[in-house]
Amino acid sequence: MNCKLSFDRFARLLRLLGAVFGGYALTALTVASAGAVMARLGMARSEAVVLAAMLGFVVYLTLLLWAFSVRNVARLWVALAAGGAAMAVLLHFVS
Amino acid sequence: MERSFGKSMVWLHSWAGVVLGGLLFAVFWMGTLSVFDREIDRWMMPQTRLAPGTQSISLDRIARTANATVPAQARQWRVDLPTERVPVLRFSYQDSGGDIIARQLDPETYAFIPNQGTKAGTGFIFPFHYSLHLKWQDLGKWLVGLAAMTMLALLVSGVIIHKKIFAQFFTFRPNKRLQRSSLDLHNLTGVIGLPFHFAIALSGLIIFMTLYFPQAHWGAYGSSKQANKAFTAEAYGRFARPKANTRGTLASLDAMVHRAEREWAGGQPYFVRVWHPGDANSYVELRRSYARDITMNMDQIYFDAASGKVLHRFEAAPVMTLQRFISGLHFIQFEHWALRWLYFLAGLSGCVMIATGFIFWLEARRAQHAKKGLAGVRLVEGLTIGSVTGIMSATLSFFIANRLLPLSISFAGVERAELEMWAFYLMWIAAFAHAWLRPGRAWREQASIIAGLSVLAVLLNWLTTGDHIAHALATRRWAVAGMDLMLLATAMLAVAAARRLGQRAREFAAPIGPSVPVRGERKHG
Amino acid sequence: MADALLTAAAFAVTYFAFTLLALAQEQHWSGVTRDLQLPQPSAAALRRWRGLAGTGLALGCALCVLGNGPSFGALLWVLLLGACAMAVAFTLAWKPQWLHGIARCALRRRGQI
Repeated sequence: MNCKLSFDRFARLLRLLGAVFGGYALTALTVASAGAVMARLGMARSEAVVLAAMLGFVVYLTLLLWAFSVRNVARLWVALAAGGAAMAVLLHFVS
Repeated sequence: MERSFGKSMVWLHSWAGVVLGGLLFAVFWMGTLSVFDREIDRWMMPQTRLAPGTQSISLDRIARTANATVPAQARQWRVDLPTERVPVLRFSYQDSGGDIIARQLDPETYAFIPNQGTKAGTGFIFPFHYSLHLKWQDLGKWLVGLAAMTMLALLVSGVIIHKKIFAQFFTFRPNKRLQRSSLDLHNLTGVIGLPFHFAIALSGLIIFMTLYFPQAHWGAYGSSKQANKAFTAEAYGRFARPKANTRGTLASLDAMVHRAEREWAGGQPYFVRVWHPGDANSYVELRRSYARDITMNMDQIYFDAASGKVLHRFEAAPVMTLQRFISGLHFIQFEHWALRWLYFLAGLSGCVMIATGFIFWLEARRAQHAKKGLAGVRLVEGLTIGSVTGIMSATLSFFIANRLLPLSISFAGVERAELEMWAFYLMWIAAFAHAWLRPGRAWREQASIIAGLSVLAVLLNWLTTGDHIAHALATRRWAVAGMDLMLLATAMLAVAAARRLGQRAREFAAPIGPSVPVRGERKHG
Repeated sequence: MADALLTAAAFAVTYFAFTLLALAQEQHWSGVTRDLQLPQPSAAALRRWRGLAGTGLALGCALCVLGNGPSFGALLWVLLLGACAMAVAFTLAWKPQWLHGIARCALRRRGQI
């Protein structure tokens, strides 16, 4: 019983870390990529960056809400890692 | 863990609310007061309670004063022109070491106003709102950012878990048990205020977007320092040229102002800054006022100091202008009294939302925790009282210290302005201690303290400045009268709250049955 | 002065609109007309009230924009919506008798029962 409680607590901590820090990292990568992509597509560079940064907060909010509602904490971390990797690759090619 | 989306949202809403509610209240409270920060300034700096000036400002006259005052190797000096809400000129310069020294000038006589020795509204309350005065590594700003994101998540999760959002749109039953009426008020202020609370939190984040997403430009520009400078220059506009290290002159600033007004098709500058004063490469920066717009434009013109020629002109691009509009929705620097008061009331509704959220959480768990011997309610109640009534008492102590301390005091090497802030923090700590030491009675006692402090502040203003409410109204010093009236209103509300909480306490002495009206309540009369 | 009057008019119209929306809800109709012995409004009456309320809200917006220009006017209207909705909620909670007149009037239109 005690084992289950501390496992639950640990899972909750992982979820919190994933949501707040993992979510932020993924959002930051997405913002940088989005800025680069929009600049490539013809938008003025500074404009693209400002738009991406503003939208970044909405993206982070969505990630937070999803992170706290997804069933499996493992799934959360896998998704964050995959998303992060994808954004990092995109960023590399576009910048 | 949570078996359904709804349950996970309930969990998120409760935990985020309890853990960060205190911080959120502090940010919302200081933000609400910041709506009237310049009025608070007038109250706390009596020698700036000037009637609005009648003659137009001569910047060349100020330039002569600057010449006499600003030290030789200063990097820049600047003057902020008076506005409807700020009747004095703000004069400041940055010395060669980088320190900024600020003074105030009377716009009629161009004489310096004695140092008022206070940070007041714009220097303490407003920066507390966005930085908590925690400067190390911008920790305070990051905490406020975390609070803002949490507020957004709380608002969305709150809407999701509120099942009767339309049916209970107007529902407020103050005569029911505290648990029910606090939840009603929490839902009321949360739902009706939803557009405001969401826009305020999001716009606050957007203001600091380059702090919260410092890597935003890495994709489009690169991550070097040059890349950062390029982005800043293209987005925000920057102009700089190095010193020549030979002597130079300053042409007529008033002529530059006239030129700028023509360039801006009637728009007026709100401040003038002279870079490298006295140098041959000195240049003058003017920025356009946004007192009549929501958008905080970034229009700037740079003039060569010696010749008055235009060197550089900048206006924000469309998307950046949108960012400035969104920032303007938050900063509310425009002159519009109806809107300013509505923002103040909306901010208060946010404070009520947070406080009632706490109260509901406590009441919903009080019986259960007492039965099981859990410490949760006891801990959170102390936290709530300190965060809500505590910060109010602390703020009032800040105002009272301002009236009590002599102008040129310093104690153990601490300047007057800092002593006022010490009064704030010490009172806040005392409020927390009181809350944890006297759990049953702390709410009522702190409400009474707030009432007492508010009245004391009004009396001290009268005693130390002679500006009682009638006198302030008669001499058209609206800011001072407004502040005193708000303090008295606070006192009346606090007394009513203390009475109500006293009745609730007596109600709790009786067994809890089905929802009954509070005994002894005056019916609608 | 004119824009102050327009703003006041916008407040009044919006407050009235929200009052109608509240009265169209059963619990608030009962709360307001508890001591009045008025009949329950019909479904058609409720529809009319809601329609009238919608018109009132739109009129409030127009008054705000008229008095303050498009951007200030729109912002003022959004905040006014919140202030008026809260005001109606507090009226219902503490002084429901203030709405007796509106309740009677709303039923009496065109002899509707």
